[in-house]
Amino acid sequence: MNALQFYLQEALRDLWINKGRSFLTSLGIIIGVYSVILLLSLGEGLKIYIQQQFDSLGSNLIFVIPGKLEGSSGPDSMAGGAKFTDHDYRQLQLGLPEAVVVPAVIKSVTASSRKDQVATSLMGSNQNLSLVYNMLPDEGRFFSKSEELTGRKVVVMGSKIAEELFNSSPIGQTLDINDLKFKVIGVLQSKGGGGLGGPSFDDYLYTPYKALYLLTNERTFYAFYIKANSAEDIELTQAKAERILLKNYKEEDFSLNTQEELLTTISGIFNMVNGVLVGIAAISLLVGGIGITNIMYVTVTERTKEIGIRRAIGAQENNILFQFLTLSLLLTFVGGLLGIVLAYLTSLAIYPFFPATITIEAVIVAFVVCGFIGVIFGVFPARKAAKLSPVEAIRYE
Amino acid sequence: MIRLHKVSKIYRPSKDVKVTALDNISIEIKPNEFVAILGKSGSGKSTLMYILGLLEKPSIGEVYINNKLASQMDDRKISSLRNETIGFIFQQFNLIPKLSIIQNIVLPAVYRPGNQHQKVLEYGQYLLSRFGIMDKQNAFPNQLSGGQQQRVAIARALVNKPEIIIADEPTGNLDTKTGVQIMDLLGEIHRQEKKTIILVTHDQQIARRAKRQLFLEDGCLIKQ
Repeated sequence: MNALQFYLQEALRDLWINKGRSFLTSLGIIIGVYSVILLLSLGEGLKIYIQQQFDSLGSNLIFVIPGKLEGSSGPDSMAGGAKFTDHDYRQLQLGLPEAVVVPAVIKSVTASSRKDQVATSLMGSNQNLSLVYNMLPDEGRFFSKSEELTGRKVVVMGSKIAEELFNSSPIGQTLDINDLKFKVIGVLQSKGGGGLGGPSFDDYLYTPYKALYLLTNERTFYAFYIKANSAEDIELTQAKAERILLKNYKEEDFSLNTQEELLTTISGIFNMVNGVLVGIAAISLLVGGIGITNIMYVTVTERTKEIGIRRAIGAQENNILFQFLTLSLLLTFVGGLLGIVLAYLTSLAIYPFFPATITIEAVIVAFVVCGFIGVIFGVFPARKAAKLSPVEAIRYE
Repeated sequence: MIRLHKVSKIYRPSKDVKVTALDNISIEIKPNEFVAILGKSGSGKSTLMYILGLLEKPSIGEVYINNKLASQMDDRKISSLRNETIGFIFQQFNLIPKLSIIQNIVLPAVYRPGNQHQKVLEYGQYLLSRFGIMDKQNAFPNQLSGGQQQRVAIARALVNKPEIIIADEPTGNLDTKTGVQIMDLLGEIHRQEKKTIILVTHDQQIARRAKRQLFLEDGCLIKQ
């Protein structure tokens, strides 16, 4: 029997003899690895989710939003900044004849039909919104240029909200939005998304922005979407749009981001948040490690006489050291393995709602970390065991 | 075989206290000798046994085993010398409770690099059948009587085929009849396998089995 086989066999036996205690000791590691792996998988899922959301948008898009959106300063800097107006919209349309400019304003409203009343969001825009967001009508149609210009009270419904408010086809029916009557002219095909607790395209109502202005005193937009003619035109269009807006606003009052830039920025912010969460979760691994040290010290004390006997029959200090190190490594690895299995099962359970994904890298990192914890937190008790005086150990009762 | 040259062992339980457990002891034990170390409690016989068994180093003096200066060796060398050369038998049997009888017996061989597991296992089984407890090989120590446990301990002491067996009050925890049986077994091992036996005891009756007796008193060798 080689030494490694022997240490492993002994450690497995020790683990089995003290099943309950071993499990409780590993619990810290189980919870630590579980939370770290689960958070990593949620972070990975978030990346996939954001990518999916961006993929569902049209291509060659530039987002114009108030405030500065810089990766390093985070979302706080998005507050304040420009308040875009109808004037900006017209300037952009005039200055960018080859591109499609779409304004957007959102208002929280109460929509009531005969069937039900729901709190939802109304998005005011122009007829090109459907083009920019790849929205296709399931039935009816999107609003037209003339409806946009005249601000007719027509509404296009997301598929989910249409189901909530109407039993049969809502086309031609009246929907009360904040006590104003809107005519339903279309229902969109389902686009999904919104899994982070926020509304998806399917939960929104869409109307010409001028119709939305009937419900509010504010005459501003929260964003413009600009669709460049082609991928090659994006940079030029972005520069032109910036020049137009700089006439009315300071540089720090607004940001122009391409889809890719926005994706990078948003992913960066989420990665940072995820990193902090994983860091916090890793503290529980540290606590788990301390638990291992504690129980290993107890084990060494309990087995002092046994250590003495082993030394008397020829065990070297190293034999004792490795025997106890193997035990602490096994404790952390079993804990780590259980943590990974639990995290995997949890990610499977939430997958239908959110694409949480455990990567092989995360699993490898978890095992390496467990190895480190096993060695670092096991080495002091194991050294204590190895350095016991054989004579004192054998006399220990 | 074993030679102690002017060995002293001094303990310092605290800064100002000095206890001399062994004082200037010189002994030579030859191959195939049966030696008894006798002394009252506190006479230093246990300390002497631990020094002879390479479990403890002397404060002063040298210990030679087969002309090798063992008292200067590092842990790795001294442990492996102990593993190969010396087998221990204790008053309390000192078997490991969670290991089966056969696992207890082969344990010293596990610490011997390059051991052939199958051969060791077969030799362990041979010893068990020779001592009449073959049917107990998969039992655990707490399922055995004191006499049976001491036989297992003897088998464990023999498994690496050491030249020296050190027995510390081997009959101390046994009834008289079983004690006699165990001493008969040790005598048989000494005669048949030409092992050097060092018997540590306070019992003159038992010590009579040895051909040579060493008397210790207050850490000094008073009679050889």
